[in-house]
Amino acid sequence: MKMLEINNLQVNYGPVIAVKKVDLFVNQGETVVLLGANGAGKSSTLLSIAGVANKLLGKVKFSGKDITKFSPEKILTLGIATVPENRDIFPDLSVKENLVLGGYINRKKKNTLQDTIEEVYNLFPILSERNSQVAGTLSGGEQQMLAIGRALMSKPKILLLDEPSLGLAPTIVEKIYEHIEQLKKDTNLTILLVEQHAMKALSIADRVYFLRLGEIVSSGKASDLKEKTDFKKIYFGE
Amino acid sequence: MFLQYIVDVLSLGSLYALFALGLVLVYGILKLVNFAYGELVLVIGYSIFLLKGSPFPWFFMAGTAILMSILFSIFTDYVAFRPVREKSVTAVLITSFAFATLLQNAALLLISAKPKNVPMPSFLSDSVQFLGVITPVRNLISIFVTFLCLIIFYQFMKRSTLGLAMRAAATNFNMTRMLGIPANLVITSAFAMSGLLAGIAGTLWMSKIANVFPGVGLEPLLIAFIATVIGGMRSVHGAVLGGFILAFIDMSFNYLLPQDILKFRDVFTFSIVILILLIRPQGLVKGPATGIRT
Amino acid sequence: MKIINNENTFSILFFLILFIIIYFINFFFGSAIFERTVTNLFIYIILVVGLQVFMGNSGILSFAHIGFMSIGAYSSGLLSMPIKMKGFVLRDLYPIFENVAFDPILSILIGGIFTAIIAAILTLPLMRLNDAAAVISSFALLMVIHSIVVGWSAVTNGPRTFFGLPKATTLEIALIFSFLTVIFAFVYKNSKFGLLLRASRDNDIAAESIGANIVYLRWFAIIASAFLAGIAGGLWGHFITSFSPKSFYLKETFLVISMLIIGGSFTVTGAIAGALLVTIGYEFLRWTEKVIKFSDAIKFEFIGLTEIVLSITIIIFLITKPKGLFPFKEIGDTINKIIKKEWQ
Repeated sequence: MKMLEINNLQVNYGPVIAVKKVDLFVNQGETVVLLGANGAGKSSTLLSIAGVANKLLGKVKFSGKDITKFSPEKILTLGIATVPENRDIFPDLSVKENLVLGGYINRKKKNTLQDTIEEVYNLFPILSERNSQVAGTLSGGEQQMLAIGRALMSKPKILLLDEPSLGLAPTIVEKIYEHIEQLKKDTNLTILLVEQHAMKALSIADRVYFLRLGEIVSSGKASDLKEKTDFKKIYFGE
Repeated sequence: MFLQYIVDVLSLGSLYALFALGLVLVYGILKLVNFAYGELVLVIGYSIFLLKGSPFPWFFMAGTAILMSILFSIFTDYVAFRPVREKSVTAVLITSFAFATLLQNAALLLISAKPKNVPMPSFLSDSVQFLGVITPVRNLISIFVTFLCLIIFYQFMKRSTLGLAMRAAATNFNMTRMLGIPANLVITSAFAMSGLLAGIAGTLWMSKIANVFPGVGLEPLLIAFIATVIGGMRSVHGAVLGGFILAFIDMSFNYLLPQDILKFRDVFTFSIVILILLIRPQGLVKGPATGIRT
Repeated sequence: MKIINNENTFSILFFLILFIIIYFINFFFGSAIFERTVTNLFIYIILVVGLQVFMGNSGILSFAHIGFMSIGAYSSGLLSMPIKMKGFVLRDLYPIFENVAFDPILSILIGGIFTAIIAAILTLPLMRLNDAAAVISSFALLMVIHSIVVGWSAVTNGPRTFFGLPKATTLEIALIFSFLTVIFAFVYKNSKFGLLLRASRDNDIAAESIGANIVYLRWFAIIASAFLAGIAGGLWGHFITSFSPKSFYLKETFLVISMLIIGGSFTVTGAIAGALLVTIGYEFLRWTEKVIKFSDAIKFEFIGLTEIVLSITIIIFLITKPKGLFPFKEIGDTINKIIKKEWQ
């Protein structure tokens, strides 16, 4: 069944319309990728699901429930966790403190918190090493891992990832995507991934949407797309 | 003589530091200036005054007053901040200014324009002598209470989940919400804590001046402001440091300057404020990263 | 853009007619109290429109305005005070001033210029600050000016009352100065300086890219604003003939900012409307306070009622109409539109 569904979404920032009309859906267990160039409206789409963007029009549904007007806090409790574009880790708090905050909604269950932190450390061993280090001093790749780990602390049903490769060296990007693949294998987590970096994203995707200038221009199964040689055209436009 | 000076600066500085801390809590998280902050001292003063003659012991009266301070601080959020927070920074400045005026005139209307005596336990004014230093008991209590408050506050912010959440909110409010942490809880807690600190500092202030009048909140407000600007508007350490620095400046002036220059003390202090805003607007102690996008 | 465009002309004409009407109402029906209120109103219009010239066009909240008013009041009073009074009021006055007494109107003008010069010196470095820093620095400036006025007893009589000014401000004089202020405000707003400054208010990076030197634009605006505040101070001083530093502090600052916010800081019409409404409301509430006091109906003195109502009003306004009663359009724009419609 459709876990996440977006209909007719329009997002604006003042007079600028970032998203004109977006329709997409994500099924449980899928990894869906939203591809597009800079300014296409990808982040705005994700942020509007997370509840922090100005939705002018449209509906966002989660497991059939209309969550369009919900607050960011409520959306997290429903099981939608977001890793924003700039990772947005708290630079003055330690790695552990960042993770603890990520698990805020489970804070009452003392054991769950500790166990979940262990799980995150299993997935990202480097974070375990940097446990008490101040997050602002981590490298870009480590910060990305921390951001993802923090999002996982709330035991989400779906993970929204905004450009995990942004600003990272290719080898680090490799690592990150390896971790994401591992995550998929271990937990069968549903993922909506937004990327500019097409190749890497496609390698883990089940389905793809192409976003250009605020509208979905094409979509399909990733496996079909890998064969199409003209997807560059769709990506960059004629 | 020097030791006397140190004790004087420390006792005044501890008071200033507490005032500054209460102000910076709200500014740090909301990035909004609370002009109604000083009026919490008004609330403290009049609360103790109104409880005068009641059968309760003084500690109870002080405790109630501090509770009122917390409540009024939270009330400030609901009246002056929440409705206009989204609109603009200027709007919040003016609404909090209006709310401060409202409280002052409410005191004027409902109680009196004349200063009212605020009863304080007499032992507070007794002098203590040690190592050649003479100082009233309340000064030592001031230093001790502040020290205690700072330790508890520091531990709270470091260890408790709410403290963590508040620090996170001060860095990146939106992200904090996206982790499921309720924004309103964080904000109300900040205002409550601000009210608690101002309440404690206000009680100590009252023990010094023993009088309450509608304009009593102005001086503490200015102190908190100046201390915060000097020390660092986005840093808890900075605000505390700023409080001590300001006390140092004020005390030094009192000790060193002749009377006819002393009356221009405010000119000097506010000129320093302007200078700092021009040269190092974030204050002496840099605050947390603002999380501005690269 | 033309400085004398339709919107400006209509606005200025509108206020000319309005002021004349007010003048004639007073002429035919006015009591002494009414004349006093109206004179006060015209002075406040100068003050609030002066604030609008800076705040409305730059978008920066300034707390220093009343400080400038005090400079104008004291300096003009110092110049115009009769020599005999000087010896009585200002015992320690510097010899250079002891034997001069200028014509009051001249003194007011000099006072205004002096205020502008002081403002020019003090505010230049502050004009590059933004947001909270700009506001706090303007607040600090108010405190500095106030402190100097209180401390410099040789020329201000310190915290005590400064009295002995000749009562030179008549209704006519206040009206004329007020009208000139209104003309200036409109002309400035639509001049190149005003437009560029307003562009920077909305988007400073974009404005700079088209050549706006924001610091100097703001500086010019605040100098003009301070000049007007100084004139208003001089006129007020010579109306009320005695005052003290207390008359130029936070209460008055709050009042003048309320007027501008309620009316609308982006428009001159707003500034005037705010001054008008708040003055009327203020006088009414003061009158209510007196009536209640003198009738024995309610045994309760309502001191502070005016300020309470004003505070609540301004909070409500900021919640419901944050940009004021006249957020964007001047009265002339509306008239222009109506006329255009009729022509079709």
